[in-house]
Amino acid sequence: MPFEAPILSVENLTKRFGGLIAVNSLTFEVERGEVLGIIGPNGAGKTTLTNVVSGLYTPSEGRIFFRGEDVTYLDAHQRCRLGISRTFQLMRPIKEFTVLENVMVSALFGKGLDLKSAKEKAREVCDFVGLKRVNIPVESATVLELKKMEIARALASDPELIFLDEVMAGLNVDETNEMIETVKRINSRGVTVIVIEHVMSVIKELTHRVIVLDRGKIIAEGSYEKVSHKPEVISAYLGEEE
Amino acid sequence: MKKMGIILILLVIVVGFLFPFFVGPYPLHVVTTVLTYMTLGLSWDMMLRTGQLSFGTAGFFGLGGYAALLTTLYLGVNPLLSIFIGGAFAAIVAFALGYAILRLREIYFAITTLALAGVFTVIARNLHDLTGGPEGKILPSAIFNGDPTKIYWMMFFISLGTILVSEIFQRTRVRFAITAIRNDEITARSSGIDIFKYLLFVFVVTSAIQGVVGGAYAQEYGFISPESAFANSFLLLPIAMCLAGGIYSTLGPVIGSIILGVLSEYLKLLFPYGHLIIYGVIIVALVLFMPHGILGMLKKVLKRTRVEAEVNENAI
Repeated sequence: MPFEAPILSVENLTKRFGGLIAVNSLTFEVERGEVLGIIGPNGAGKTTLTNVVSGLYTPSEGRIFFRGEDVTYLDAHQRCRLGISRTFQLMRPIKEFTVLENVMVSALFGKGLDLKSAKEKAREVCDFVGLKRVNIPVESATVLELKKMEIARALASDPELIFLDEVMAGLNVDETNEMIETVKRINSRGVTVIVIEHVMSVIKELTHRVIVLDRGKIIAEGSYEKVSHKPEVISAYLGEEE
Repeated sequence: MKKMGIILILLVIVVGFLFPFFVGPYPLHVVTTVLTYMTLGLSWDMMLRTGQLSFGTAGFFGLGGYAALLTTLYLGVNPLLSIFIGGAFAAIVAFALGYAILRLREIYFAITTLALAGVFTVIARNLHDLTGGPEGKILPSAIFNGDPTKIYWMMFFISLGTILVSEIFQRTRVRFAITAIRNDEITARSSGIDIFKYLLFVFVVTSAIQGVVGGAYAQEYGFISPESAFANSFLLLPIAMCLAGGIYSTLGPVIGSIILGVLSEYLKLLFPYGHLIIYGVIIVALVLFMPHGILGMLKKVLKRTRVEAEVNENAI
């Protein structure tokens, strides 16, 4: 079997904001086709890590390789076209557009389709994530619909790697279960998924492997069963004993 | 419905083209001026659709004017052709400057573009040998020997061309790109949009339009000076017209420039003294009481009736 580079490889990645080190010298790899969970308490650096890898921030130090290719200094739009996609924890829809038009944007520019094929592509991914009302303005969409729209937008560029930043937050049990099924179906399409989540049952249900962050550093790595029993993980979440 | 629209558009074009045969030279001149401002307003609005407020309109207008007039004066270029040289020159300058200033946003971009127009004025005033300094330069004759009908047709076709470009912006992927950029640059980037490329593209295209209009205006009078080429009215009036008509559309600036342009002439006839005061008050009132312009208000009324119709339909 020929050697295959990991889909994502991060080396000594550091992001500083002034004196604050949000991400501190992280090194890890993501294998093609896996579902990786990133967990950690608030302020651990999960969203910053997503922003640096998806290209919204330039790292202070370190390198990022996508499919073996150095993408450290590429802008977000270039990484999107290469196949790195993400959703936003604080949803950022384009308010003047309908739901379908929001999804079309990344089919048009992320995948480079023309208007007609982009519309078809957008319909297809909306259908895939279970969005039925696609021709409504964003302001009349429900929270669940907006979350699905975020995922659809991220999928419309046909990514190979997708970051899902807290897509389950604020959903009820039924909605969460539906979303878990959606993520599984995304993964079975051959898309590598990185899930950032606070809800542990979701992480347990979905992920093959988990990375635990605390104050910008990796404190544990491995299967959910393994990391969830580690004392440093428990203390990071519950606070240390006096 | 679509057929009706096409017939209506063709009708407007035909009536516009035949307009000089129905009216005398004075109304024709008024309409030519309205078309000049309409084109400038549309080009300003096209840039605004990307979220960037530009105050460089008069600057590129003046650059185009100088490029057109001076190439005719020194190189003997055909006046009609020189107008496009004016556009090309404005486009080249916009491309070079855009590389630097399109990294700026909001008020910083606005102030920089305003300052650029000031810099152009100072340069024109001081390059005495080339531009004639503060006195400017004069051609032996105006374009088409000053024939008002042909000058009107020239502006008419420039306006049609600008409306066409504006509609292309509204109907192709460009609309998706610039609307996304205006609403949220982070979403736009994350969806694969090359923001800088689109900003530069729109900046160059709109500056080229302003350069063409400036060239046409300079050739219309066969004269150029720093004060006439870079006059503030070529910046402020088009903006007022867009705000009155409604921004982010083709129709808004068109409606706004016709209403305000004709109104301004009418007021001048009614009140030879003090007409500008009334004009100013009307502009302020329009902006205050119709924040989305005349077009925005019409849309709101239409939407309300449409929603009511939909509710009725659903009830059945």
